[in-house]
Amino acid sequence: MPRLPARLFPAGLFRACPLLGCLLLATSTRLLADGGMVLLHQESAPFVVTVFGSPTPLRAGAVDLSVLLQSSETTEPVLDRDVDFILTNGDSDIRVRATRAQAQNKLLYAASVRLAAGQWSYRIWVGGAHEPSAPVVIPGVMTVGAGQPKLAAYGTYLALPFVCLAIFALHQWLRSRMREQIGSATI
Amino acid sequence: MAEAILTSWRFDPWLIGFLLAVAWLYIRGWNQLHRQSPRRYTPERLAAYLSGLGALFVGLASPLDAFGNLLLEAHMVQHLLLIVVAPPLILLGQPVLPILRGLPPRVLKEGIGPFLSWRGLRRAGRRLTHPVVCWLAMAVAIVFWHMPRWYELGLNSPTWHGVEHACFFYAAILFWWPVIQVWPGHAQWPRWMMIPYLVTADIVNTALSAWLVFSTHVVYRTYELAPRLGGISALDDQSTAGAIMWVPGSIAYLIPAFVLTMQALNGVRARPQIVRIRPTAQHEIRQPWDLLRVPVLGPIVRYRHFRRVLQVVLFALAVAVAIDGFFGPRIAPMNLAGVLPWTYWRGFAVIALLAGGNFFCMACPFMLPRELGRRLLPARHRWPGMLRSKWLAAALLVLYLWAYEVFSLWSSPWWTAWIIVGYFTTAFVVDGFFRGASFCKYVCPIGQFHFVNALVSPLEVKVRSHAVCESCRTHDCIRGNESQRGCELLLFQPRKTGNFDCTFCLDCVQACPQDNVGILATFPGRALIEDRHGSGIGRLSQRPDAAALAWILVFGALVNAAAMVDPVMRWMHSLDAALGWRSMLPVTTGFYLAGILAAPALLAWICGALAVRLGHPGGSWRPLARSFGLALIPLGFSIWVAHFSYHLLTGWRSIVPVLARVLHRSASAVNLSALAPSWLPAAQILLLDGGLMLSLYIAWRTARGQSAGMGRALRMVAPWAALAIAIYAASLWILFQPMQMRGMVM
Repeated sequence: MPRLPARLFPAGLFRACPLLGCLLLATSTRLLADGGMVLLHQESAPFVVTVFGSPTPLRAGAVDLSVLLQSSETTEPVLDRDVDFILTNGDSDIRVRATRAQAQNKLLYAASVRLAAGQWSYRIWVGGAHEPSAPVVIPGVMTVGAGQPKLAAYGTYLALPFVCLAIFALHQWLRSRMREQIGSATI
Repeated sequence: MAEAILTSWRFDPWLIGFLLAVAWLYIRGWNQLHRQSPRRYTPERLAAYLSGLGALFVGLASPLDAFGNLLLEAHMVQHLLLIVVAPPLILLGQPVLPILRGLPPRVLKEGIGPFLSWRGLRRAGRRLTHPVVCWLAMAVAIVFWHMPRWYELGLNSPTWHGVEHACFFYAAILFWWPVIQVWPGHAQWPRWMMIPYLVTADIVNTALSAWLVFSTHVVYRTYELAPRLGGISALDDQSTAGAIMWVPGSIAYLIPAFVLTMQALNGVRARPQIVRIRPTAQHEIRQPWDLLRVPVLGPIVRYRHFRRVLQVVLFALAVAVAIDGFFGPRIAPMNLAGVLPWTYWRGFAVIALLAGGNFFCMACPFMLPRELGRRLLPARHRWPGMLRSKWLAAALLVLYLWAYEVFSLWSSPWWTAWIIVGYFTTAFVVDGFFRGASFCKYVCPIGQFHFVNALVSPLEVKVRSHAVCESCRTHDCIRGNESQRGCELLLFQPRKTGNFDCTFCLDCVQACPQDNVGILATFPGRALIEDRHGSGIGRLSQRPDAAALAWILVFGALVNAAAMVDPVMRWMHSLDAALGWRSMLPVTTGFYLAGILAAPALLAWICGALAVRLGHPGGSWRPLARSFGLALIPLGFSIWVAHFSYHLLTGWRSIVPVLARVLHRSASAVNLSALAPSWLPAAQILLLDGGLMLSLYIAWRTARGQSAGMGRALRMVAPWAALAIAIYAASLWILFQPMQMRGMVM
């Protein structure tokens, strides 16, 4: 086996690593969410349509909706369509484009939308530039529950300083005990 | 379809950040250990550890994760990676010692050291890594999470899914611990006992796999409802998943069992691993990270005219803002004076302070009128002795914060333009008549904002080696030389502490003939913790003017943010209506003066008096109010950053309509909706968390420095900690309220 240099990694590499890490983090700040609970699964020729909603159960606030389109004949995923969600709850109408780019699972078309609590009717509009036939519209209904209280939604972040405080208190106690032990040993 | 599957990766910044951090620490420590003990810390160990992290990343972020709720077999492969691939590989890297050695020596000694030498923790660790506990942990985790009710819970909730994966991974770490015999553990059973340990674990795995393979119905309902991909039925998918769990899972248990059997038969005994951490004093002394020594960037920042270029650019922008403010449209979102200073400049300035240091003063546009004043006017008078403090600047800061709200500066381009002109004129006159950097040091409120908050910045202009300064006789860093002036703010580098009064002008860097001054990394708030006497500034805790600035900035952050949230605005309007005044001026003025002056004064007195009574009998509350007021700076700074970054991130496209107007172009195609990014509230809370923790730490160190025992220090710090937590709670409340989108197109 060839002999390796004593220092396999130059010191400069370690200094560059945090910078590289920051760059990687900066390029990966977009979190994609899709999947979740199946809201609808039906055949609507020429597609088999499955609609997913997340979080489970649906709560007021940011909701991820995604659709899997499969060919009725072959069950192969259909990946080249334009898909819109058209949502209404009586008070407001929302139309949002679902894309594969927004989905983690690239077989799905996903969109993120802010919804209020209550009953929402939705239609999924499926069209496509290369499709000569009329667009397909699939209707559905979903119930969005009350939103999570902000304190609960950010509970982990709010608890962080107090957890650190507890660890720090333990640390200080251990240190003072160590000092006492060293002191008594010296005497 | 294959392309769609292969591109279904999840790039979670937390996961990537964690894996990068532990990989970096390991490599750093391994590099040192490999030099000392190349036979023990071999490249194979490094490769195993990094492969383990790679397997963990693939398990959590690859398409396996994306397809986990559509195909049980994908989910099963993901679980196998988390149970039988990533944990043993990570442990084969013997990660404990390299990671400890990878930590900064001070963190290892003072931060982790007390925990490592805690007998209770060692005892708990020994019990936790007992083979019976380890085996049971794994068996319980696997059986529990494969029960339909709990498996469904994981499938339907991302949070529980994460908990499930964490259970698998950490239980597997425990399970493989006695098999691999990771340092600092000691073998608690004879080596041959690991053979039945592994075989019985395989029996559990086999029983569970057989249940999935031979079941005549779909066990997990989610997969029954899920759309079928590739024509695979849910039952076939389940059988395949069972087979994956059975065969590769068993191989993972039986191969090490076989190896151990062969070792037992051949009489090979595992070598005891006696490794000790060398004392910290023997660690190599590392120079702190130095911005000026970063390739490419360092030489650019060091370039003699770099600062001048920045100043000229900002000066040109300031002139453009002033001209547009006077002559442009009166609608703030359509005017440079409504957008550049209030959305961009403030946001970038605080982010620069948070990430680096006082880079705004480095690029200050008011330097040019100051230089002009020196050339055109006498500039030989000394700044009056009675004004050589921060009191004037503190008063101007209060005036500025008050004027911001009363005159709605964010929505008045005209007033904004006047402020810029006023600033130019004052800088020109002050430095035209007085020597040194009197304007920066004693007058400029923006400068004071940066001086105070830069005490929390992670970079500091300071000497690289004090030994070099000891032999220096010329002291060019403060006196200057023929080609370069010295520090105008009278900060003598060898005795400089922190960034207070430092404009990052880099005159000292240019003047030092030994090239001994750099922009070095430092622990944020170090100057506040150490509280040493510093050149040109004295000891901050003994300066009432510096403490007053700190109090004003902390409460100014709170009041400035509170004034733009809906409940506070409605309360002020209702108060105004109840009082029957025709103008909001008295209510706003009262609110500001009460918030920025009266409240901090009252709270400083109450907390000071309580601290004296509890932990400092016979003392005075005033010195305590000074010292502990400074400790609140990180918290106040975090509120400023959370506030200004909110405006920057929600209004980062505000410049588009203004540029479209200035350049006579149409901006109709650009979406200007000011929606905050979904991650922003979490980031803001984390900022506030960081500010609170640093403030509490500094307060604790201050209390420890002023009292002999732990108990007394605890009693002394209690009122200040309560105040810090109350400020934190108030800032959280503000954060959760609907905010006024000031100066933005909606």
